[in-house]
Amino acid sequence: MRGSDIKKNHDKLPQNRLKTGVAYMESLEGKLLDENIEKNIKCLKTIFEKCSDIIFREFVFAQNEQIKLALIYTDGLADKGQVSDQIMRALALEVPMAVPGRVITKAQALEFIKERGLCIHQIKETNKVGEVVNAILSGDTVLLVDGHDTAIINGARGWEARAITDPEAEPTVRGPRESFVESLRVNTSLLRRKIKNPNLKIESFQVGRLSTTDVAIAYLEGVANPAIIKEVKTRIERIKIDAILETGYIEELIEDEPWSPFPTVNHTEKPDRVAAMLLEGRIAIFVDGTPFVLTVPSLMVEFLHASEDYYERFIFTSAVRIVRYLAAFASLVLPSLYIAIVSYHHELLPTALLLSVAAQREKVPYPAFFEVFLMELVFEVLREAGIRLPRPIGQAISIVGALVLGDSAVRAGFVAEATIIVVAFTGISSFTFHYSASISFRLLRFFLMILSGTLGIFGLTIGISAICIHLCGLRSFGVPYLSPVVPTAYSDLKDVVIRAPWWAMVANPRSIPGHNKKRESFGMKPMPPENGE
Amino acid sequence: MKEEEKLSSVQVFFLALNFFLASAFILMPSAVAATAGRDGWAAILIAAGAGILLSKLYAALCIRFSGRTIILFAQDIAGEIPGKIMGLLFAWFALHLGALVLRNFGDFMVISLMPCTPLIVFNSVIMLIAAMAVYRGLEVLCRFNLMLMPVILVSMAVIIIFCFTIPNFDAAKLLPLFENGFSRVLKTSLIPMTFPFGEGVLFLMIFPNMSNSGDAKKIMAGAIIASAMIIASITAETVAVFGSNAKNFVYSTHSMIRCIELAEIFERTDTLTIVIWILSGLIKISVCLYAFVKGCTQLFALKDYRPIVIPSGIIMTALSILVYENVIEQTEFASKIWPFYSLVFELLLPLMLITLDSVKKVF
Repeated sequence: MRGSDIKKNHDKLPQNRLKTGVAYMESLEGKLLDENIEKNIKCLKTIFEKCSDIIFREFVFAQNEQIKLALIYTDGLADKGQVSDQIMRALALEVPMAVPGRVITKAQALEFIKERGLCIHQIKETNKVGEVVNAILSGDTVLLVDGHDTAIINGARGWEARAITDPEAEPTVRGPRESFVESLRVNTSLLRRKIKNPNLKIESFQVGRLSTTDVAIAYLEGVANPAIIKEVKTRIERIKIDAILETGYIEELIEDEPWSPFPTVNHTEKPDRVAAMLLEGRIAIFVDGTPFVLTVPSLMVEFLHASEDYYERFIFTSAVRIVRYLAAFASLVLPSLYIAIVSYHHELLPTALLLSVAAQREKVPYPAFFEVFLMELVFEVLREAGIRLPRPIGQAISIVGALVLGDSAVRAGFVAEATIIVVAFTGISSFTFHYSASISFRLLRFFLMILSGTLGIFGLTIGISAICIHLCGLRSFGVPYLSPVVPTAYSDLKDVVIRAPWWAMVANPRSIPGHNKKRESFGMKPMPPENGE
Repeated sequence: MKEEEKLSSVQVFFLALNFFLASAFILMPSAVAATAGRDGWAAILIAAGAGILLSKLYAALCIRFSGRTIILFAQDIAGEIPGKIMGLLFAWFALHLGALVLRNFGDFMVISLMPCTPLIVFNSVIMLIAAMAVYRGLEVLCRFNLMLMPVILVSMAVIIIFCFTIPNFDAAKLLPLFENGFSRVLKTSLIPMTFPFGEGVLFLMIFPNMSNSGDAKKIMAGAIIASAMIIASITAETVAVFGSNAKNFVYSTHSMIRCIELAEIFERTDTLTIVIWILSGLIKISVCLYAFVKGCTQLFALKDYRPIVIPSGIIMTALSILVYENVIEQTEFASKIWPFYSLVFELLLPLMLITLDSVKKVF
């Protein structure tokens, strides 16, 4: 079909279908249900034309066969057991058993059905077509009663969902093993189970003009800063987009600095981590359909911390954190430092090492910059392949990656052994901390490599300075990104590179502006019994 | 909102400390050794005393006209036209100083790091980063400085300690004290007084942004004392290592660090110290650029200083290439002309303003 034909046919469509889906949904606004059930069904059937998954089930009321009833629900979203047992069976068969002899008129029908007919724990009434359509699409079951312009919405949702499993992106050795799933309500329930307090508020929004995705923000009232809560709400409400398929959409639409390579919104799939964030005064953003939950405001140091840091004993944790910070630093600068030293400042190496590196590099045809750049690229390709490849062929890739590319590249004289060591160590280091921060580190690594390849250690220093200046100016929902390091909040420094024991972390972090200043009482340090029993 | 950037006293203290240390750490030992010989360290300590007096003058001005920079209160005191001329002079000083520091920097890079790379490459790259910092605002500059400070101070401490291990090190080379008379030391102290301590006059552009400007005197005095101790000890060490030869090096600190050999790992590490110097010099240039840009903004009553940051940076870079022909000329200028030239801005201008103001108050 030629383009003009498509357009011609398009013109023939009924007027309401011509509008975009958004305008179509808006056109339902203000439209009310009719008293005549036939009209209502016809109306809904036009709306759900060609939607094979919408089920219309018409039947009559057992008490009075004059009264027609209709159930409308989405196949797969409504809990079929509940719909057939608690609604249909009740109305079509069992009602007479409950009140034998009594005749219900058309006018009484709605009240009676609500009070005695339905065995559903959550019902709602509406007379708006738009709400009915929304309810059906969200998985609720709508009951229409003849002679009434009111529909009953039964909350009998039930669909196939993934079971709660181990967190895959943030594995832990010690700590809760559950992770969020794709269903919003399951996710909020996981959070509610961690914080059993009425001050845990979960406010719902609907975002997405076509998808009407459920979005919820959670915070602890009295702990989180009201100004930030308001800011989060405003930023979410100003989103006008067709669909939200993942929290990533929201993240990009509410960021403070969209052009920064650094993530200013944290995300996690662990309920315990979200709970910890809320307790420090942050705000969580849930989106239906994704196990990743956003937390704001977020600081740079968060990305270098793991939730396990707070569960393992503090001495060990502090040591591990120091290692992690060093690894993060290495993942950013090690290749560029290697390039700078090998191509400009050989004298920095101790003599024995210098000779060894020089001997390795003698047979390599390329300049160090090109060599490292190439190997980093190879590593990035391997990493990307590792994520994308179908599981069964993982073995093949690791053999090709490790043996062919690594070992043979050295034997063939393409790269020096030292380069492989540097690239491999850098690659491993970048996996020691939060994934989204490591992405930005990896990106900036290439930028630094170019600088140190051209200007040596001077270029490297300048590059790091540029990154630092950028970081110093970053903010996440008004909170300086580098706090508590700069601007310095001294009492917060006990939870940055090291972690103080729990009994010493009396104050909540001051870098997140909240209201709950103290998170525990003083004098929590364990003591031996006083009278030496 | 951007105009109300408030700085804490700690931030300004470290900014000043870094400002004083930046080029002096590497240039001062040779500069004072030329005339004061082995007593250079004493000249620096004397200069620190004078510097504290100078900073008292600046702090007095700052407290008297709290919340206003020198550009603004000069117009209040001397009237609009003479005040504007003074402001223009002050802005020129910031520009010139920035260009000189930038030039020192570039020269140091070319001589000690990459002899074949043209000077303009270093100067423009450094200026680019300084402009970036200034563009982001004073608060960001202070935070950046605070981030660097631990690195810089620890490295300087390590350098000072490790220099004791140099085989040539002999504290006896510092003796006899004041061999050529005390007056020579006194005369020499003019050099460190005007560079770096007197250069603190640029902080008159920063004090109004402090949340507690009453601290200005303490802060400047503290920064001068701390930086003087560091510079004096490194100066004494160069003499202890090189003896009377110390004055023959252009960058004697750098040459001394090259002599450190420790445990076969810590040797020939002079390149790493360049990193420190780049970092702290970057701050000094940024402060100069900020003072110039902010000065111009207030002088010509512009709304925002951001649009003129890049043009000013280009002017400063161009000036830094033009000021000298070579390093020898720079050394001559720094020791013979700079002390007297800079006193106009560092002493005369503020002194004139405060006197005028006091006289006006009396009548």
